[in-house]
Amino acid sequence: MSNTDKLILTFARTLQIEPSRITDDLSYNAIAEWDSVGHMSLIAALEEAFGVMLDTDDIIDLSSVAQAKTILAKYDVTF
Amino acid sequence: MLRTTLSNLERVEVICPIGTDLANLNDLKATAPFAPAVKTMVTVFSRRLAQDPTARIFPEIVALAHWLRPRAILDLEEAFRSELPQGTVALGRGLALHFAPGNVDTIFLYSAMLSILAGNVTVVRVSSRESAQIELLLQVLNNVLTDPEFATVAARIRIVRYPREAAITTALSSVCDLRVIWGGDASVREIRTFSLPPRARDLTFPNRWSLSVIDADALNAQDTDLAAIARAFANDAYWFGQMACSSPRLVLWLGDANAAQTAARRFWPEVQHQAQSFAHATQAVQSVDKLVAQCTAAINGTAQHIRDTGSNLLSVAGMDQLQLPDIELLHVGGGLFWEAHLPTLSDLTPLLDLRSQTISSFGITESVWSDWVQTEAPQIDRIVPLGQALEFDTIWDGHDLLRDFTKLVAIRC
Repeated sequence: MSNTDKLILTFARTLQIEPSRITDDLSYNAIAEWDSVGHMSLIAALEEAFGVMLDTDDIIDLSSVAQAKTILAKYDVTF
Repeated sequence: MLRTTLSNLERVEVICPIGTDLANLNDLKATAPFAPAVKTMVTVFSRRLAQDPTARIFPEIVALAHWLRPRAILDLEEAFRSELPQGTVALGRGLALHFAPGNVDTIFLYSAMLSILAGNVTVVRVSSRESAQIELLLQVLNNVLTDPEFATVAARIRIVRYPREAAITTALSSVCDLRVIWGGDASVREIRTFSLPPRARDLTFPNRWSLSVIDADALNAQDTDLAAIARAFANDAYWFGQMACSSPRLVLWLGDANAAQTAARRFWPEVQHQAQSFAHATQAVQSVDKLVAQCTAAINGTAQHIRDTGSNLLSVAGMDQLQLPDIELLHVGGGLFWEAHLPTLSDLTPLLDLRSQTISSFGITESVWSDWVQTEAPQIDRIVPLGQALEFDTIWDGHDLLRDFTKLVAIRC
């Protein structure tokens, strides 16, 4: 599975929404499922899926799917 | 001595780890903080919680899992080590006995996890009240602790329930090195009557109240983000039925009077809207209690205005005078707020008392708060942005918990 697929799957499973809704411009608080609680679950799931430990600034900055890719890239995850 | 004292406590039910008792706790000593096996256990527990589909419906459990995630534990350890005085080595204190509060179901685990991370043998008494959250947390923790990898860690934790029985609290208190009492004035008073060994100490968390301070001009400058601000406030206020010690009860509008009025008029309808997501968690009796409190305040002169919010979920009583309502009025909960105009931060200082804990604030910078604290030495323990009132912190009620859960060995050679 490519990292992009893995990312989409992680978002979809964690937020419990259709993978087709996971586009680059999907952003934090834009949908009810991605609220502050969903965000914490999402961070845990991303850390688990990609074997990374995100620092606090990155957790705050991770406010869209596109941002998630940029931030994960800092942890050597390529998309 | 510990063995003989604790092995007779038949009415103590150890609910985690399942199938254990208190008898062998005296074989164990304190260790250095952040032992690798303990850290691994804590982070595995965090992962299991985060992945548990049932835990999702309890935001406070998701928050606990987040707080204990591997990176957070790493940061905690780094901060702890970097703040140790030169020429000292930290060790756990020994046997730490924790009494969990009844109002917030996750506190017992923050307290327990910090305690074992600090290197202590840890006994936690939780309330006998039924709670789906507590059952779920215990189930996940029990599962983690059955892993043979964590046998040595499991041996150092006991989560217990027991009926209010003086003999048990006496026995447990007589052998502990640290006693941590959450849960308010009544619990603190009661448990303090049971004496501690001379070397042991109490760490107490009595009743507190909290408030929000909002800069009126800063709020009035907000347009699109008003909903997000109101959501942050609603999260602070409505979780735990507004009964956590850091739940805001008083809302003060900082700035000139006109700006304050405008800000309040814009803010409350948004809060009312955001509060709807908590409708399932509120009961009819709370609406009655809130109305009674508002009427009482109107009669006794505390409040002059009762805001028409269009919903029983949100009740706002306005006070012409900057004052603190009686504690019975302040502590009704369920979404009852007392609001007043605050001309300057200096006017806030005399309002605070020994029980004031958290200010959740909007539009006021860290340096302004920092100056105010240094200049006026106010009665306050914590100032956080709106939306973070309920976030647990290792600095709590003025205590640095990890430091207080450990002791320092001075090595000066």
